[in-house]
Amino acid sequence: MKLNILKAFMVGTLAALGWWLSLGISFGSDAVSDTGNCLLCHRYPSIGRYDEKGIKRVFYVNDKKFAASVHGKLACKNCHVGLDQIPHTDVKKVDCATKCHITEPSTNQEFSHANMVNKYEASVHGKGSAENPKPFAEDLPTCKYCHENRMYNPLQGMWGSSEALSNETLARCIGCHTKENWARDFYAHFTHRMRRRRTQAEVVKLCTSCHENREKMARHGVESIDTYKDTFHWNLVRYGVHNAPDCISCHVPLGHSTHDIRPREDPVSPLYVFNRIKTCSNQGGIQVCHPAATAEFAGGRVHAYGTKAQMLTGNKLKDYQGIETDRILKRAETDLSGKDIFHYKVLKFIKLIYKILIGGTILFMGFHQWLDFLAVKRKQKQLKGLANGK
Amino acid sequence: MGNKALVLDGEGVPETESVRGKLFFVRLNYAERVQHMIFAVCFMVLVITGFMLKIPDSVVTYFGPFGEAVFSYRSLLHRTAGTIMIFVCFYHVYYLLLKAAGRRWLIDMLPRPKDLWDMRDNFLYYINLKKEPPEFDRFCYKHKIEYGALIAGTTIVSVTGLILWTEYNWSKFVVDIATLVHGMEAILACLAIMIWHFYEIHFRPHKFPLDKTWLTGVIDEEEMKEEYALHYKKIMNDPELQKIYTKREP
Amino acid sequence: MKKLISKLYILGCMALTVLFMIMIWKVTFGDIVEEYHARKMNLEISKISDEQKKVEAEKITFKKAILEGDERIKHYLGYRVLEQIRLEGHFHHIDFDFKADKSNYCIECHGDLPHNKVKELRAFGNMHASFIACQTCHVVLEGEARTGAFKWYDRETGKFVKSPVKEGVAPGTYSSKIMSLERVNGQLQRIDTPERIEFSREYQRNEKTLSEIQKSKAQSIIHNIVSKKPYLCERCHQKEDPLLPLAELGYPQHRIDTILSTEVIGMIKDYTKFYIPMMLEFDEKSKAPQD
Repeated sequence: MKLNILKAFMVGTLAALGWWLSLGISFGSDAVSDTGNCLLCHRYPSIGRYDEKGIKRVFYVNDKKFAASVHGKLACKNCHVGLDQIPHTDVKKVDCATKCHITEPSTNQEFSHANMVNKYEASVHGKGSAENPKPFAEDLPTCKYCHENRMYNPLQGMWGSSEALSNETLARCIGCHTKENWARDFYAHFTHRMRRRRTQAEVVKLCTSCHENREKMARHGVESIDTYKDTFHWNLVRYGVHNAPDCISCHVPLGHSTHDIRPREDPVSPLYVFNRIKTCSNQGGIQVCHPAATAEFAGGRVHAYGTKAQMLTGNKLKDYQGIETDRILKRAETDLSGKDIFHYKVLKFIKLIYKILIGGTILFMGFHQWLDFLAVKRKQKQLKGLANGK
Repeated sequence: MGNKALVLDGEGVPETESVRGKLFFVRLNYAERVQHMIFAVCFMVLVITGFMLKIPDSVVTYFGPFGEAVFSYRSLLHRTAGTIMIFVCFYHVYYLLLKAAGRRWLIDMLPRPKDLWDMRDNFLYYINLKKEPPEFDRFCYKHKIEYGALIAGTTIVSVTGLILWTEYNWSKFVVDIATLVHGMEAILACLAIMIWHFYEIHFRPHKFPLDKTWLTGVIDEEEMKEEYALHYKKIMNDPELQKIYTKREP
Repeated sequence: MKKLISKLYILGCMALTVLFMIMIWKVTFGDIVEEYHARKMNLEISKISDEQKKVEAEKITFKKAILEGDERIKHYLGYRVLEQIRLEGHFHHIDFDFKADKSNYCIECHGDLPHNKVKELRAFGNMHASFIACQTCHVVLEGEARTGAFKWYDRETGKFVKSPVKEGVAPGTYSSKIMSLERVNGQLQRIDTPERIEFSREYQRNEKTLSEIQKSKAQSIIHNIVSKKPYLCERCHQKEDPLLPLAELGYPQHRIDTILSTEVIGMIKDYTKFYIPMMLEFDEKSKAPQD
C-alpha cells in the first residue's frame, strides 16, 4: 500500500510540474549564444533533404531545447568546426574531443571531452590505437550511439521526488549568488547528474541493441547476452522494480565509468574474479543488492552459459564457420575453465532429464485420461441403452 | 449430498427424501479435507505467482507503473504460500505417523504388485478388450501415482525453494541447479495436477462440473460399488471398518 | 443459468490449460526449437560469402527503407516524455512535429522536402518549403494573370488565415504558408483552384489503371502552370522590386529589413565561396522576435 501512495504522490507532483511547464517556462538560459547567426536558416524545421538512400537528413536545431541542454552555452562553431562556406561543404564531422572554448572552472583550462574519449578508445568499446586498430571497427559504438544532447530537467530533488527541496536550496544559493539565471544554470548542471537519465529497462534496451546480435558479437569474440533475459535480474527490470539490476549495475558499479569498461581478465574490471564480491554487494551505491554476498555466491556466472559453452561441448562446431566464429572459438577456449564446462554439462543433463520426464508425463497422462473418457462415455451409452431397453 | 454415480448420467439422482437413510462412504475425513484444502489453495497461489516470472514481456507491460508493486506482492505471496505448504507437509507427516487414521492412510497408499495388474487390466478395459474394469481397493493405482508425484514434487520443489530463498549460503552452481530444478519440477507438478487430477475431479463426464468429495468427504453407495468394489466388499463384511468408513444419513 | 456457468467454466479451464501449455512448452522445449533455427541460420549465413553479405545488408528494400523507417523514439526526461522521430545520428533534440501540408496538391506526389538535385540550392529550397507554397516560386505568372497578391493559408485546412508573423508566432513554427493569387477573368483567385486540385487527385486515384499515354497527358495538364524556370533567390531578396509584398503579409519593418538586406543578397550573389562575414551578426534591434 505505501508503495502505491508514494507512487501516486510522485505521479501527481510530476503531473503538476508538467502543467506548470506547459505554460512555457524554460530552464537554463533563455537565449542561445548564436554568434554566427546560424539560426537564420537553421531555425526552419524543413531545412534538410532526403538523401539517395532515402534517409531523412534534418539540419534543424530547436534553439529552445538546445539552450536548455548541457551544451546550451556553446556556440555552433565550437563543435561544428570549419563553417566558412555556404553550403557547408567544408565542415568537419563533430569530434567530441574538440576543445570547445569553455573554461572549465576547476582547472581554468579549456574544456574538452578528450580525457573521456581517450579512456573510451582504450576500453573494450574503443577502436584501439592507430597502430593496432581493432577488426570490424564499424560495429563499435560511437559517442552518438548512446549519448543524445542531454537536457537539464527542471528543478527536482533526488530521484524526482521533492520539488520543494530544490526550490528551497536554490533560494539559499541565490541569497549570495544573486544572478538568478547563473544560479539556476549551475544548480541544474550539477543536479542533473543526481538523476539517472535512463531507466533500467532503457539501459538494457540500449546495451542489447548490439549485444544481442549473435553474429556481431561473435565477430568480436563475445557471447550474445540473450541469456540475461533468462535471469531473475531481468525479471526485476521488466517489472520495473526500483532496485533492479541492469547492465550497468554489474558491469559499471560504483567507482567505475561506462567509458572505461575493461575485459573480464583485467584486474581493474568489476567482473574480475576477485572483485566480484564487491560488485555483487554494491556497498555505498544507491542500489541495495546483495550485502551478504559470499565469495562463493559471487563467483558464479550471472548470464547463463551461451554460445561459447555450446561450441566447446557440442559437436556443432561444423555449424559455426567463417572468420567471425574463429574469434569466439579462440576466446571460448581460454574463457571457460574445465569447471565451467562441467557445470554446463550438469545443467544440460538435468534439463534433458526433465524434458524427457515432462514429455513422457504429458503423453502418458494424456493418453490415459483420454482412454478413460472414452470408456466412461461408452459405459454411459451402454447403461442408457439398457435403461431404454427396459 | 452424495455424488452423482455413473448410473444415470448425473441427472437422475433425486435429491428429495429418498436421500434419507442413504448410506455414504467416507473417502476423506475432516483432517484430510482440511489438509487438502490448505494445500490446494497454496498450490494455486504458488503456481500463479511462480509462473508470473515466465510470462512474456509484452504481457508484463500491461502492469504499467504498478509493475513494481505487483512484483513485490508476488514475491511475498509466493514465499508465504510456500511456507504454509511446507508446514502442511510437516503436519501431514505427523498425521501419517502419529494418528490412527493417518497410519491407515499410509498403509493403504503403499504401492503393491496388485496395482500393476490393475493398471494392465484397466488399460485393457479402456480399449474394450475386457468387459469389466478391475476391482479397486481404497486407493487405486491412479491415486497412488498421484500421491507419489505429490510427495516427490513437493519435496523437490520445497527443498530447492528453500535453497533459493537462502541463496547466499550456497555457491552459484548450486543456486543454478536449484533454479533449474525448481522450475522444471514445478512444471511437472502442474502437469500432474492439470492433466491427471483435474480430469478426475472436473472432467469425468459423470463428475462434471465438480466432484464434491473434497468438501463433503463422502461418496454414495452406487459410486462406491462401481469405483472401489473391493473396498466396498471389505467394508460390508467387517463391522469395525463400517464404523470407520460409513455414514448413514439420519 | 447453471448450464451457462458450467459452459463458461469449461471455456475458462480450457483457456487456462492452453496458456499454461504454451508457457510450459516455451520453458521446457523452447530452447531446442530456437537452437535449431539459429543453427540453420548460421549454416545459411556461413554459406554466403562476406561480399555477398555486405551487399545483402545494404540492399534497399521498400519494406526496410520506407515502411520500417518511421521510427519514433521516446526520451524520458523525468518531467516529461520527449517523443520525436528517430533520425539516425542526430544529436540535437528536435521536439517538433512537422504538421504535414495536407492541402497542397503538389506535395501529394512530390513529398514534403522535394529539392534534392542541385547541391547549392536544395537545403535552402527545402527550408523555404515550410512557409512558402510550391506554387509561389514555381509558377511564374505573366501578363494579366500576374497580381502581386499573396496570402497565408493554413496547412491543415487550406483556408486563408491571418498572418502568423503578425500574430507573433516564432519563425520556424508557422503552421501556414504563403500562396500566390492569379487573376482570371478579372477575378483574383488562388492558384490552387478546386478544379486543379480535383484534377490532380483524380489522377492519383486512377493512376494504376491509366495507360502510358493517358498518364503523360494528365501529367502535362497538371504541370502546365509550372514554369520552366522558377523564381530564384534574387527575385524576393532584393530591395527594388521584391516579389512578395512583405508588409501586407504581416512582416514588421525590422524583419523586412533583414530579409531584403544587403547581407542576404550578398550571400546569394556570391555563393560558393561565401565566407560568413561578421556583419551577419544581428544586433538587438534587428533580432527576429522569439518567445
